[in-house]
Amino acid sequence: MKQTLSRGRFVGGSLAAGALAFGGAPYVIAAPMKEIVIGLNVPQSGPYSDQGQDQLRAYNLAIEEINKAGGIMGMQIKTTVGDDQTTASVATDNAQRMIERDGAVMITGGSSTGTALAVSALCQAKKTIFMAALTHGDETTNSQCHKHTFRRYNDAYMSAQSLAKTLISKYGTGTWFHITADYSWGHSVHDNIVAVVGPKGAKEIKNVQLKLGTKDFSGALAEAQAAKPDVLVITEFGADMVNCLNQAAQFGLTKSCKILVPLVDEYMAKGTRDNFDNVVSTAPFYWQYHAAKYPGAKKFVDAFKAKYGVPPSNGAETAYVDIYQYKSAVERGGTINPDTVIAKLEGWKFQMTKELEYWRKEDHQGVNSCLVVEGVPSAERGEGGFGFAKVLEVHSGESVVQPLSGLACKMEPA
Amino acid sequence: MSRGTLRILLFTALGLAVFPFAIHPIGGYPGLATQICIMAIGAVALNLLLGEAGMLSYGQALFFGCGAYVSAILVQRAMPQHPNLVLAVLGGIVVSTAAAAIIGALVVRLYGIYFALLTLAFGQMGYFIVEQAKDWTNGDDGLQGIPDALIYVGTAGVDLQTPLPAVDLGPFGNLSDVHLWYIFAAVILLLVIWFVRTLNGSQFGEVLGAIRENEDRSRMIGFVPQLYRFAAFVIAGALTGLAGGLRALYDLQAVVDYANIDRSGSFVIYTVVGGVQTLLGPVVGTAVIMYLENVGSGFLAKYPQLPGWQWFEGLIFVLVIVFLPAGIVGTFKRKRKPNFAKMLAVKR
Amino acid sequence: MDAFLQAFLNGLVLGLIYVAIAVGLTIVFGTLRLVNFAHGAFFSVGAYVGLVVANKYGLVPGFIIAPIAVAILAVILDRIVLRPFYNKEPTSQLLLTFGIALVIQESLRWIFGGTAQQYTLPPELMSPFTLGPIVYPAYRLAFALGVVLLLVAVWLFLARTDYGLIVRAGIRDRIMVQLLGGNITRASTIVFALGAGIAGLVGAAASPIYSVEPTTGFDFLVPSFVVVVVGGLGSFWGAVAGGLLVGILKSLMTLYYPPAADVIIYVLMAVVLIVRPQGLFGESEVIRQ
Repeated sequence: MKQTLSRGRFVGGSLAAGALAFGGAPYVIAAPMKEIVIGLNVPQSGPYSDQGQDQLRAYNLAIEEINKAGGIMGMQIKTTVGDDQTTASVATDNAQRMIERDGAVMITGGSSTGTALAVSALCQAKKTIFMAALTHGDETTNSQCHKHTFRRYNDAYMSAQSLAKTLISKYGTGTWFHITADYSWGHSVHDNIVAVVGPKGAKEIKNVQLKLGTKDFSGALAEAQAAKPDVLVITEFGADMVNCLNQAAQFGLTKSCKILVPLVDEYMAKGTRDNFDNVVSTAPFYWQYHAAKYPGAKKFVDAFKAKYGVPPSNGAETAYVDIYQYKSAVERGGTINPDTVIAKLEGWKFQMTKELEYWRKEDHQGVNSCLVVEGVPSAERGEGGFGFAKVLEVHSGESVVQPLSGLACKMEPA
Repeated sequence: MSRGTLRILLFTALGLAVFPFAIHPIGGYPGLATQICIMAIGAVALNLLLGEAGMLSYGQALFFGCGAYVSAILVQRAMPQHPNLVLAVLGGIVVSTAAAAIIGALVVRLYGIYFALLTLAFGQMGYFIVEQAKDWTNGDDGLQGIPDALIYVGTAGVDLQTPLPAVDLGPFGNLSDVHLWYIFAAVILLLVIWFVRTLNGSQFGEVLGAIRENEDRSRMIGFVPQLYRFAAFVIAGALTGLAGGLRALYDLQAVVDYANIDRSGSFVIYTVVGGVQTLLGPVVGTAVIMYLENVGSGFLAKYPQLPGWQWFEGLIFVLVIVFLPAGIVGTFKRKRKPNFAKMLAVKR
Repeated sequence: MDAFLQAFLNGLVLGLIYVAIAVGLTIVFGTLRLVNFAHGAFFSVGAYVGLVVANKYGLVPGFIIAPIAVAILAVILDRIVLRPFYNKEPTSQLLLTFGIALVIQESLRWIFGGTAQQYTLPPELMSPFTLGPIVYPAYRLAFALGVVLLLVAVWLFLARTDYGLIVRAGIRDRIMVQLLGGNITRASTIVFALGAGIAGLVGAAASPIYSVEPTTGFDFLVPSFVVVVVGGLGSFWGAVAGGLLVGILKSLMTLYYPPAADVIIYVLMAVVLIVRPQGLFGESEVIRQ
């Protein structure tokens, strides 16, 4: 008996010791609502960590501004942060912890459609709003849409439609070689691009699918080199795209064929330097262009630069706007109750950093413009390499968004 | 059962009953407690191999992933209208056991590091097959949003997500924080502990121990060591498959990292840190490491100037191996240090 | 045909990286009976040290300083933590070296950040080199040549020097060497530092090919275990043959049947362990010790 009691005490004691190590502060689950908790679930490690860090900067900026101005309905915003490691199970564990333990009323962040889909499913089960940040794959607001999930970022369909004219005029309908990230986003982008150029006669030589986080692209690139295509499509993101494009240059592919990178952000362009010259891509937001055109964007970009010394990437912009949109919906509805917030977001028109845009009711997709950009020679890039693009075309959200007739989204009633 | 066993089970049951509330003030939450119970089953299974039989298996994630995906697929495809938890998990166990039997037949001839490396190879094979069999597993994206499986009593389905009645427990949270899932997982863990304890105390366990200590002698007495090792491997595979099935149905997803090499390593880590060759060591180890992983990384995410959680995790391993080789529970029990060398006796 | 040649060359380069890592791993296992999960961390440290030095002083100083720095790290680890664990059971070795690997990896992340770092090589080396029908990055060819020279040097050490003799004898029969008066402890430290240094050098040299990240070393480590098993624990030529085999196999599989590219090397590992556990070149007595 004696041994049993002391064993229990030891286990309890070691747990308590561990607790002391963490300061043992109980987390406030907002019972008397003086503050609300928002969960920031971003990649702080892995191939998309640059994007995740920038999102975090934007979230902190927005929340700081809002708190300084009195918070949301008088309640200060408190954040709980997690590193999703661009892994679905870690992302959902974080989200679960944020909801169950920290009492988060809204979850946001993420740079991958893979994690977005997983967190979206969990937030639906837990009836918590999820403002999916940087996710580009169609599924988030299409085949795997959920009532509690909202996505403002362009999707792959929109990018492909925006590129349609350029794809044919600049890239032609010859032979195409694809290197694609092997998960939901990569498949989504690849299928959308093929749907645009295939009917026009473009011939796909091969589609090499590589795991997210691949560092060595030499196998695929060597094959591409041997195949001598007209166009090389690199459907990779973050550090993976940087590696792939830089290695492609080593194989001489940047000189021997035209390169298409369906989605880009400032950090990817910076990492690939010269190799991104004359490469065509899309983005929902480009700080230099939008700050010159829209006062709302200029205000955001200036504030971001003042606080962090660098301009914001396009993922940061959607993070910033998402927080403000959540605030707006809560205030208009007068409550944090998710059903009301959802109703207030659906169909809501607003203008903040871009043109007039809105949240579509049927799939919770943000209908806003998509830019077709081209890499500027690195000698001409300003702002520490962040001024990387020349805007070729601007396509309005309405003109390129997934038509309702083709939507496979079956949203839950509640 | 013996008085000793009863004592241990009651003590563990008591610990499990207070656990989700006890961790509340230190940043824990009942969802984490449920996951700990589920993973502890896998750790106890590994300890059967490592502690009892002296077999370091570095590929248990294969069975974990197998159980997880089979259960998830059964719920999603075979019974989406009436998702039956018990049937789905049983399905996962059956397939894991079959896999363990096939692989077991191939691996039990090896010992020590060679055995470990072969199990690692099979674990990796399992991982890459799961990744590539996209029609079944959805590859890297995993199976998301699988239907919430119920436990059917007659025709009535019990949803394990049902919370307990609300009773305020002050600094320990509220009784309603805990859902039926936790009770279910804890009860299963208790049953697994009872089973393993009985096994260890039986002739089967004695023979395993004898094989671990001196295989030649046990063969000379007349036992066939490979048969016993094979049986241990299959039992461990079945239990790990059980853990996998529960995890998938709890998380409502089956993802590819249930089958990866880190997952295999996790079971080893939980067991060794907790105390190999002790009954409750794996459970304690799972609780400590998973708690630190979850709460610790959440805590550290807010302080980018500090190193990440894995730095501390690595340090813990080093400190445990150097200073507490018997693990937390083992050192506490003040037994002899486990003789690892004898445990993994290379075939002479 | 072009595609095959490209893939074969790729496999060769990849294989040479595996060989360089596996040589250190296998010799350390052979002499010290140490399963070293931290070996990948040596690769990573070499990569970062090489990067820092190269960015300041140029590529060649980087290649000189990196292995020296890693060797020093290895000696420190040997003295402070690892020595009591030589010849012990694999479970504690595995966990201990894994813990060390994590600490090193996360320290690198802490210091340098988690995002990938790129080398800036002179343009001549970064551009393609035309070899008949094949266009292949010049740097990779230079790298392959470099690794071959390195392996020759290591072989000379093992085959022609006294320490090398003790190492080879120690792999076969450690006790006997000690009885015969060979200073196996000193040789062990040298061997450990040598293995680490090779990994560090390869880490520095391979980084212009990929980018440098804290986890790169560990990513190479697990396939290197495959190489060591296939070649035979403790065998230099086994590491060479195994590394080339694994690299080329993986590369050709990526070309002809990509879904199996990752898994094939583990199938090979399993087959070898089941059919001939001592590996291609290993001694069957090695398993008995």
